[in-house]
Amino acid sequence: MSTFLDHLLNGLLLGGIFALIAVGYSLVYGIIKLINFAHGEVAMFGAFFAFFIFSMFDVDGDLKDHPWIYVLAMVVSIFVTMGLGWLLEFLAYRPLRKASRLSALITAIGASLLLQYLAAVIWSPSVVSFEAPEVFYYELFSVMDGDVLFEVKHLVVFMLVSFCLTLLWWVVEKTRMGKAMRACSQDADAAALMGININRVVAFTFIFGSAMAALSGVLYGLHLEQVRYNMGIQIGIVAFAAAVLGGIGSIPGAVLGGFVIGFTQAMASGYLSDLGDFIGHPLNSGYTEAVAFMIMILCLIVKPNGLLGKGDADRA
Amino acid sequence: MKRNNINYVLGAILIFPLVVCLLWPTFNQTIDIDNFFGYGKFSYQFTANNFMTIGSYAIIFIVAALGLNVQVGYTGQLNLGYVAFMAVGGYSAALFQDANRELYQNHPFIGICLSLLMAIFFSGLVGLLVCLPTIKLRGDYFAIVTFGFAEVVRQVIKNEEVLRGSIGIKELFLFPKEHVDWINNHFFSLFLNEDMEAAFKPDPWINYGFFLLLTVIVICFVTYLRDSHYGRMLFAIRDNETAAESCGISLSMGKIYASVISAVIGGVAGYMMVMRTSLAHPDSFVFMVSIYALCCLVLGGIGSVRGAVVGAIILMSLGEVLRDVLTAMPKQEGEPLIPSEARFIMFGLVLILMMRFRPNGISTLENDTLRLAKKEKTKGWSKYFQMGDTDESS
Repeated sequence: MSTFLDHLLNGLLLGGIFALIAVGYSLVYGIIKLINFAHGEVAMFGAFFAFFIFSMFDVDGDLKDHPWIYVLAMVVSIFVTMGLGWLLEFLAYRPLRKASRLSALITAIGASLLLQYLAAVIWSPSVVSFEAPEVFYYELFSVMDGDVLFEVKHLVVFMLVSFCLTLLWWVVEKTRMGKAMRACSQDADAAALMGININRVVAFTFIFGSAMAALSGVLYGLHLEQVRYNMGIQIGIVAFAAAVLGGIGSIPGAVLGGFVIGFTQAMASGYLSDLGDFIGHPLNSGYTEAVAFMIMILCLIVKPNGLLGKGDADRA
Repeated sequence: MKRNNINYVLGAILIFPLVVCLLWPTFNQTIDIDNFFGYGKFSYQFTANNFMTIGSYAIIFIVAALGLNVQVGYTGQLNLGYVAFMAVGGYSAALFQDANRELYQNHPFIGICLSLLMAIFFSGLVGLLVCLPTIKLRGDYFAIVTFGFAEVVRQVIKNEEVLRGSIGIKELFLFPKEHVDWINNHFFSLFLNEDMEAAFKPDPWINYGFFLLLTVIVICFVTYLRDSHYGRMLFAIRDNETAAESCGISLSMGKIYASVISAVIGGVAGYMMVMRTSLAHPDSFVFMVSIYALCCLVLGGIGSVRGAVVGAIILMSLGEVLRDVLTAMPKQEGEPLIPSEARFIMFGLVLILMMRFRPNGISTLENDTLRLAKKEKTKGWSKYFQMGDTDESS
């Protein structure tokens, strides 16, 4: 029971991180019908920016017990990554707004590769350790006689994720820009005829999505205590699977999908070997990654509109 | 055989000796820079071995790009998991050889034919299996499903004990060592001078010859497919699915043909890849391999056979030379100045810039598919079905 609770807590943590990225995929897809393959790389860059700023201050290696430096690094990284997201949209995707969807997708793959190996060249092609502050692991309370610890880490992630999702809900539902975003996702041409500046809306979407991706990347890096140039594609694809599962284009769907995928991954890492014993074929923990892909493939084949998505003739 | 098919065959056969002749003066020449931008010594040598690596990679990716072209260029389905077919082909041949090593040692020709058949059969089967549930998916959704499928395949070959997991299957061979040595001693020493012999002797030439033969067969087959009525069916599906269906073309059959053919060619490419390195390992079938093949296509022009060949040769040579140059860079505290991964930036740039500025490829020649469309207009069955006035201006 205690291990189950442990996995549940871990799943919620991962789910929150995935949901923040999945929302970015869904926002962009809803407006310009583009699978932004480079979104995971934006998250990875966010983590690297935070690492870079932190290591700039942390020359002597004694700042691990100064959580404010981490907060500063995170905030600066979010702003820099917003710039990166805008640059990506402006340089790579905007010229192709009128081109076919496949060429935009190929450009997105190219941008993903470019950012990935740019990070490898700028920082390092191997794993970089990014240690979390000690306050991250302070125990808040424990259940089951101390077997399951609820740490500050969990509290921080849950608070930041819920803050971001509330902010997103507020922006999309209550502001003028959100109204424009909804209009564009319904019919971009009609929205343009009504005087909405599509380019501004798309740029805003990219910037907003990049900010959330950066936050999520930093949290993921701190959770794993390392950053790596190819972590973007791993986390990005899992988050994309989440967005597809929830119904791509739908924001509540992306959040739901994120939590479902995070939960499933945590459970898979815990119980895959038991499942292997049950079916009589050894399944080692290496299959954890494959689980998200399996869910995504099954979802696209069986129910392409996802859990909460609306119908779209192009998908199936 | 049509005239332009013969051109392709001759071109494919002649291009490698031609490139050897052109590059011959640069072999074993060393570039030495004592003080490279103030960082240290830079020393780079282009050897015959480098050339053979480039040549064999180029051949493998010509085949892979042509196979991918059947699905992406002809049928219009973007497949991002092409490496799965290569992995299946390579692994089935490797497993078969690993189980029957005696046979390969004693009867290499039977062995090669059998393992090639294995690669073709199993990759074709997987192509069919991937295609069946995804027939109704379009555009980017198909791309994502194939991508996910390739990742699942990689996880399976990485984790299954039967497939040797992360150790891989080692010590595979195409022709046994005695045959390789015999050919090198008796055949190549006839027309190679001593310099060249020393440079090229260690390479299993007969393997490369066999790869070249396979490549030529694939080029001929793909060209034939493009000009046949199956090819026209695929083009029709690519251009407009609804219109194609209303003309009596079965979408599902067309997509199954395309997927199986493309998978079979991918299986051959994977087979060549495994046999070249004599090792079947999950790390040689990563997502980047699919992207390599896609890059070759994009560079040469999606849908064009010529383009795929030219794109593969250009990109593979650039990639290999860049890697060697980057590793030759001066080192600082054991770390290279620029990690050799930097060469992948080039692939990303190729994709972005080509899509932005030349979506039809670098070639200034007419796209192969366009030429076909024009020919159809003047002769063949289409003249019977012209409706109203033909709109020449568009």
